[in-house]
Amino acid sequence: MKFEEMIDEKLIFTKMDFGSAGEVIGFLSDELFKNGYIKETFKQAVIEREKKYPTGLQLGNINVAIPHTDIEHVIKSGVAVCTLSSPIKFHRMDKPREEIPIHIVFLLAVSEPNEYVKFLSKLTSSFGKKETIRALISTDNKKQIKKILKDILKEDGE
Amino acid sequence: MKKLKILVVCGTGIATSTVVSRKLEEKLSERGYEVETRQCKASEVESNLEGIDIIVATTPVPENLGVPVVRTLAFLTGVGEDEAIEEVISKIGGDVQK
Repeated sequence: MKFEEMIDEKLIFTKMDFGSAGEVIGFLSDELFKNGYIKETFKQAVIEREKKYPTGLQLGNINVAIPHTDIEHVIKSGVAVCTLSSPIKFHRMDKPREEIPIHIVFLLAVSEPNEYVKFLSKLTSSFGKKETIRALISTDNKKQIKKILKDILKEDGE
Repeated sequence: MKKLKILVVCGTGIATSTVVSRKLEEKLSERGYEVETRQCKASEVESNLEGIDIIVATTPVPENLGVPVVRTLAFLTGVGEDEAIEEVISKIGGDVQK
């Protein structure tokens, strides 16, 4: 899978304002749908799954959420990215009863996990690198975000 | 030689557990273990336990499964990965040969 097929500039949104996890998931789902990545059932499926198995990742000062759902709701793999002007609460993946403020949401559409896993693995591994995460929330330039994500994927010489 | 069989558990058994599985295979084979991973949803853990030596989960799983459990996000985010690998190895016990 080529990088250009994974990071679509049309699916990058910066410094957005939302009131809840459901709102940001709804917005990003609509964008994925408009661009042909997902089926209509995806949005509700993600929202339902998030209630049961939340995806907030506690990383430090800046936290990330990676909502997603079963492959049956997905047409082709992709990701919609949104940085938030003020953080929104998500529940933690490892401690579902706890809520944490989230600064970046990656809504993942995964149609075939093995094909997509290298990308996903590099993406999530980058969450542990504070400077990368900080760089993502400090810009409102979509091209800059795309470049940061591209650099993440280039690491380890692959 | 016995293979190390790991059940990798996440919410959907798709995205997160695939990332974690590949990472475990990579890190444990670097240390000389032969590894086989199986993935499942948190709700299906009990029906996937056969032959499993250890569970690595990113979400809470039921207690008293009779199999050691390591709950960690380290193989997803890379934070504390070395410590998490040590925890997995320490919980495997002596019957799994390198």
